[in-house]
Formats: sequence, structure tokens, C-alpha cells
Amino acid sequence: MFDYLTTILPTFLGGLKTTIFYFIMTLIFAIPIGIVSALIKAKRIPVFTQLIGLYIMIMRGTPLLLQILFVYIGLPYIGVSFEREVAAIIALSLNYGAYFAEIFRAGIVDIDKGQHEAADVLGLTPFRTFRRIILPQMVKKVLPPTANEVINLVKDTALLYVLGITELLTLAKVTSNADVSLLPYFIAGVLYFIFISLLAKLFQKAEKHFSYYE
Amino acid sequence: MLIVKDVIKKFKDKTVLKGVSFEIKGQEIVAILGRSGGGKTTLLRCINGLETNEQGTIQIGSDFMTKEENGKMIYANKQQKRAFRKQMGLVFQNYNLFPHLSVLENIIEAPVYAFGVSKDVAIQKARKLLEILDLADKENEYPFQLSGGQKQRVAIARACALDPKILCLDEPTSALDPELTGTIAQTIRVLSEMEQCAVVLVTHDIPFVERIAERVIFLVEGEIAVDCSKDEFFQSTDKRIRSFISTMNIS
Repeated sequence: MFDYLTTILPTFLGGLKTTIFYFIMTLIFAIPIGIVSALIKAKRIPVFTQLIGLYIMIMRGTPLLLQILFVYIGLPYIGVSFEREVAAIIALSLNYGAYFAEIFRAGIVDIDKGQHEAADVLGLTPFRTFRRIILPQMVKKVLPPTANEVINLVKDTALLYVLGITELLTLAKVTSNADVSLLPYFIAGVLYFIFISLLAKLFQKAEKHFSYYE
Repeated sequence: MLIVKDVIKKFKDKTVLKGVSFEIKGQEIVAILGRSGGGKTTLLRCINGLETNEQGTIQIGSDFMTKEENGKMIYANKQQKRAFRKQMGLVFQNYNLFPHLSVLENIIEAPVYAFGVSKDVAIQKARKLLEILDLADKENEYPFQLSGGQKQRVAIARACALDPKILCLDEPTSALDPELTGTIAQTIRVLSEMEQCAVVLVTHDIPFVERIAERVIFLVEGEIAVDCSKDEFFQSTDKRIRSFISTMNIS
């Protein structure tokens, strides 16, 4: 059994690498999408606010699996086609961007109007006000819900199996079938668990960093 | 010094300020009194540029928020607003301290980052203010660690950090225990003398006004009903004043 482990572990670490790759790429695009959407909604910029609202509704109102298929298989019908890797990142980013948007918007709106007014009467510039007064308070507020979403994302990368991307769970399934063993699933589970535990730890540290005030 | 002239402010179709005019000079301590809904907080917010009045002039020397010239309204641009605001200090009713900044950081933020005062000078000034306000040992604390009265004094220090010509306080006694009212009155007076600034307070706390004010502006439904010395105000036989004083004293 130990021999079996040592032979398949490198392959599984490769699968974990694929999972982490899509995880990171999605965050790189989804967080900016979330911030921009949140700012537009919080500032109630006409037309754009409605468009963002529609976008968020669609993303939250349909299954992620369907969205992934739509980007890869559906869009080519109207002449837009992507490589499967690109389609995967687009679908995940759009979906998670929508969830982040709602979290960040709540964080911005939640900050008391008095904070803006105090900064205003003190003569701080809008940029300084956002960076020094609003943003740090917002980050503190949105950290816990963001942590939740980020952890969900790790597990949602498993849906990429529909595009034939061999991330960790797909790899486990393939290996399990070939070797007629349940052990690959167990190994995949342990690897997910370790990676997510590390992420959780990271968020805990970040929250602690902001816990010096109430 | 501060000139407020013919200020009109509307919210939708409701006129909240119906042509308010007064002047504030030197280091006088002025109470703006009136019932809630009488427009006193709106007036304070207009003076500090948090609301924009449709008509009228608000200026200190050559700096202004709004100006009416030959029947045309001129609104201050960003730089002019900042120049005006530098001369005003505002203490909000709920203080609005920045919760994630220490007491000292709260006070030096504006001088250092908005007006380019060197950090050393700003800290020196902040420490002096904290000393006067009996907060000398609190400079590294955060707002949540302070009592209500202490938070208020930090807010006062923050408002004074830019050497304002006029210090404005919105309902300064509303969140304080009654026994602290006397202390804050004393503190405001000392500060006004040291900083050589005038003080404008919006309040409906009659005992507090008796204790601190030199002059009273009595606002009724968006108009100045009376503008007189404190003694004249409290000795007045004007019906509106008498009924106001008696209802306020009961509550």
C-alpha cells in the first residue's frame, strides 16, 4: 500500500497543481470584477447598475455547471469560441465575480455615512478617503464572507471535469476506475483538506491582523 | 469673520432655511437653539459644506462655500472648499471618529495628509490638545477603548488640529451623562480661549446654553426669530421663547 501511495502521489500532486492553477486564475479575475461591480452598484451609476444587477442575477440564478458548459459549448453557436482552459477561467471568474460583487458592495454600503462626512469636513481628498478611511474598514468587514467564497471556489474547480480538465477530483475518479480502488478518492480528499486548511489559516491570520479595533 | 447671509435651503419642495443671516466675530460662543426640525442642524451642515444651500452667502474673509454676487450664485470649487474648511472645525453629534486609527492618528490625519503640515509639528500640536482635553495618556488607544466623553474630546481635538477660526459642535451634550455637561462646557471655554476661536453650538439643552453661551440665535421654522445675548434671551418675555424654554426644561 505504501508503494502504491508513492507511485500515484506525484500524479495527484500534479492534479492538485491543476486545481490550484484554476483557483488562482479565477481569483485574479474575479476579485477585480467584484470590486468594480460593487463600486458601480454602491455609487448607483445609472444603466451600469442595472446591467450589473442583471449579471449578478443570472450568475446566482443558474447552476455554475451550466455556465461552464454555456461558455464552452454554447457561445460557439454565436461565433465566440474559446480553448477549454480559457472557457473554464472565464466561467469561474464571471460566476465568482458576481458573488464577490455582492459581498464587497455590502461591505462598502455598511460603512457609516458619517465616516465620509468626517473625512470630507477634514479636507481629505476622495482618493485618500477611500484608501485610508473606507478601504481598511471595508476589508475587515468582508474578510469572513470572502473566506467562505474562496474556500467554495477550491471545491467548485472540480466541476471543470465537464470540460475534460483533469483536476484533482477527475484524476481521482480516473485512477479509481483503473486501479479498482477507493484509495484515490481518499487521497484526493486529504489533499483538498490540507490545501483548504492552509487557506483558512491564512484568512484567520488576516482577520487577526484587523482585530486590533472594533 | 463668518458671514452667513440670506441662506435658503430646500429639501425637495420643503424649505428648511428661509433666508438665514448672521455674523460671528472674534471668540464669541454662540448657541443655535431651536426645536427639532427647526433647521438648526441643517444650518450647521450648510456652514460646513455638507449640504448645499440654494441661495445665500457663506464666507470667512475671502474664503467662501457659496456666494451670491449680483443675484448669481457662485459655488466654491474643490480648492476653495478646502481653504474654507481649514478654518472650520466640526464635532459631529456621534463624533464619527475613524475606528481603525489611534487617537493620535485620528487627530493628525488631516493636518499631515490633507494640508501638508509636517508630522512632527502635527504631533506636537495634537499632544498639546490632548493635554488640555485631559487625554494625554490616551494617544495610542483606539476609539472603541474610550468612554463617550473621551471620544467626544478626541473629536474636539481632531476638529481643532487645523487651528480653525470657528469650532462647531452638533448637539454636544446629547450623548453625555448630565454630570459631564458642566465639564464639557468648561473645556470648550478653555479651548476657545487658547485656540482663539469662536464656538458655534447647535443644541436644545437649555441648562447647557445658560452655562456656556454668550449669545443665542433662536431658530423657528427655518428663520431666525431672535438673535441676542444670552441674558437677554433668558430674560425675554417673547412668547415663543418662554414656551420653548419651559417645554425644553420639562423634557
